[in-house]
Amino acid sequence: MDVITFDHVGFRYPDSPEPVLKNIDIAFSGGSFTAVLGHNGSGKSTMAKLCNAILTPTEGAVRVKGMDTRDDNSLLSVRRTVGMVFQNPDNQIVASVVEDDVAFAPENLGVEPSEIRRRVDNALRRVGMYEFRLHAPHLLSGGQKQRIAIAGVLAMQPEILVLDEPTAMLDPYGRREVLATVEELRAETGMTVLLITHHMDECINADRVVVISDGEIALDGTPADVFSRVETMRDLGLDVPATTDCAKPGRMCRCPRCR
Amino acid sequence: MLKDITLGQYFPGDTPVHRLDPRTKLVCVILYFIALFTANGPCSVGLVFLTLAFAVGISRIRPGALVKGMKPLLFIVIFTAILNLFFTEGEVLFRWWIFRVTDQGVYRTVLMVLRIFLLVSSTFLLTYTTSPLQLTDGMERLLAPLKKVRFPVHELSMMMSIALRFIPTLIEETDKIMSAQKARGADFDTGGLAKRAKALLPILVPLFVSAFRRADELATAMECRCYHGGEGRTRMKTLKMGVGDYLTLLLYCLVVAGAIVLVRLGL
Amino acid sequence: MADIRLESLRHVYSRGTPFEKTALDDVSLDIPSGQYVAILGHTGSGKSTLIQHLNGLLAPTSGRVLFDGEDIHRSKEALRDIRFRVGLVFQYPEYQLFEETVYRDIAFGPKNMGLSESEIDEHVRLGARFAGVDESLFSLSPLELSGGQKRRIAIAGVMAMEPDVLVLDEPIAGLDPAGCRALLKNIKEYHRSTHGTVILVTHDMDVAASEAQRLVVMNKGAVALDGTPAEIFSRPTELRSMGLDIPDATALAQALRERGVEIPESIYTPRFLAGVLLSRNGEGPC
Repeated sequence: MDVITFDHVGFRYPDSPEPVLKNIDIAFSGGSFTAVLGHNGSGKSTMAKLCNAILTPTEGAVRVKGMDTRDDNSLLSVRRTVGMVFQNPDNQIVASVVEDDVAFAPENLGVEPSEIRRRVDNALRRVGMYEFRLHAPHLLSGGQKQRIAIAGVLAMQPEILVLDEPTAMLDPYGRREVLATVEELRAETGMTVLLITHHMDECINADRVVVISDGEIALDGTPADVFSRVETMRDLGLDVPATTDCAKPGRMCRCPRCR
Repeated sequence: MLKDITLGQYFPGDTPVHRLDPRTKLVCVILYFIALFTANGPCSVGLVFLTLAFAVGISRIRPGALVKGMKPLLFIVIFTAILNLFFTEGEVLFRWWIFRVTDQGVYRTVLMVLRIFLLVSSTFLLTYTTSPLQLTDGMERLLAPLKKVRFPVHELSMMMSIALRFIPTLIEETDKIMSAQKARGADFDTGGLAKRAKALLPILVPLFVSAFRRADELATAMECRCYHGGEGRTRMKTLKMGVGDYLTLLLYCLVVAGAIVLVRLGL
Repeated sequence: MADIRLESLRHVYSRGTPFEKTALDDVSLDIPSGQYVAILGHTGSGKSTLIQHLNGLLAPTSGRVLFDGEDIHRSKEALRDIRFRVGLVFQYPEYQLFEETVYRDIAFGPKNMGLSESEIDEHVRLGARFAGVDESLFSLSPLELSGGQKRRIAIAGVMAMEPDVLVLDEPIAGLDPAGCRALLKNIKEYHRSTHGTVILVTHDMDVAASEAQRLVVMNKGAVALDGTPAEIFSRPTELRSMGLDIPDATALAQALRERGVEIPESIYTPRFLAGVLLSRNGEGPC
């Protein structure tokens, strides 16, 4: 079953003449892991924000489990269903103590205190940060902060997790940490994951890779499909994982002997 | 480095004072102020002094830390002490040039310095033993009745707790921006006041730009986590008043009553 | 000339407090003029602390920083002068832009050097060219531009001081692949045409492998490895134990080796690996 559908979606910011997204028509099925690739300014972050009604389409419609994101009455249900994690780990942590931060969403939803406690502990264990529950977030590493941010979203018990370039500001260690956490989550809960990124190697484990360019879907397929189209990817301003370069040496090799 | 400044005066601990409900502590500080300003004789001042000494003793806060807290106020204390000491009427104890010291002067000076010390120390004891978060929480709940007259209690306390959360982040950021501008030859240490003020622009502008960007992103992140104001919001950590809280409140009421009685008796 | 020499450098943060932390411990390093060096290391390995010593932003707890044989901390004037001779670009430098126009922001460094108007203009244009900032942007506000453009403007601001040594802390962090490639090309071009020293701090092994002549690997506040890319990447196990990645091509070569394919150890670019694999298959030169 499709959990998020984009029905001929267009989006234009009020003060700009050019649309950021044009006629996006795509659906994400429940339990799937999709990576959305695109260079800076391709419209991929806008796509993320359309998923939980932070932005609403100027054309077409986005539906989350059948709920139209423009419908004010379903706003909270949409946001509770689609959890979002953003790029900058510092700017999404609200509280000065880890566990208070994770409790933020369920508190907003009016959940019973004892149930909040249970959810917070669960979410922190899920991301492996339970021992840090009483720490101050600003003293944690980037990767740890992102895991806290993921826990903060998990405490809402969402069905879909949208991560908007969650590793862009992290070092390789932090990146691995966050990706492993997402991977584990998927294995244990079967959650639908939408990972927006420009790191090619983060897409390898995805079921599906969608490439966005200039506000349109340029490629859509399995990682093997997409990354075999080396030239197209290069033209779109994207790389393929470095070792793909070895795969077709006859065509790709630019060593002195070949030229 | 700016980072080295210790912010928030909270000393974590697990004493009965630390464990008190923040609301109890806030009310007690107010009661203590009342007692302190009522007291004006040796006995009544002695009573309020002993009350604080008792609380400090239980809290295991080093008295030295309280004395240290007086430092920024030293100038005002000395200034008022001099005024009191030399310009109070009474029986002259001794004279020197145009100055004369009276018995009343000495008495009032001692009283005044002691009062300022107790006033400052009692507030420090509160902040030393209560985390900033507990404090804002306690204040939000104490002021809750004001919501009825549309006073934005929840919004204020949310703003305060977010500000507390971002202070370390912004300090770190200031540090970074300062280093970056120094690397481009910015000079913050020489020149007159005007030049120095101007030299701050390369720090302040980026800092403001970044603070606004952070605020914007944080607002989005909060919306994503279903924040929609204080309405219908619950809390994971509910404050509970225990027997200890009621006893402490009772004790402080007794201190206030005691001070009033002692003053009436002229002691 | 612009030779840098670090002698038994030690740096301790927050000395005498419970937060005391030794960030650098007995680091000695020679960086002769004109080299393109990459400094690698896990977060917290001391590499950021190290580079802030190069232009005197941090003073060593003990040890000396010599520039052309002279201690940079010998006088206030020398310390001020070194800021302009060793240009330091911090991580996410776009967050330090503050002027109303791109031109004035790039001119901030040159102006602090006390140059004349015409010299400042020359410096600004040169810096902009090296960093790939088009002159048509000069009159715009930096705040209106995209993240990638802002990054270039900030880098231009340091390049415009025409330093002998250019130090860049993670200059490509957060850029997309096209942005990374373009910026690295600009830096290489800068190195080629100025013959100045370039010191690149990065944790991207593929970037280090393809860009630098020499790699310095920091670990726990000390220099752990120092050598050419071929030397460094022939020790993948050591790199991994220091929490570092290895270039993708090296990883692939290692995986193949473990499966019994005979491949030399010092492979670090996909191109080289492909060549080796092809000649192994008897397909001859590709």
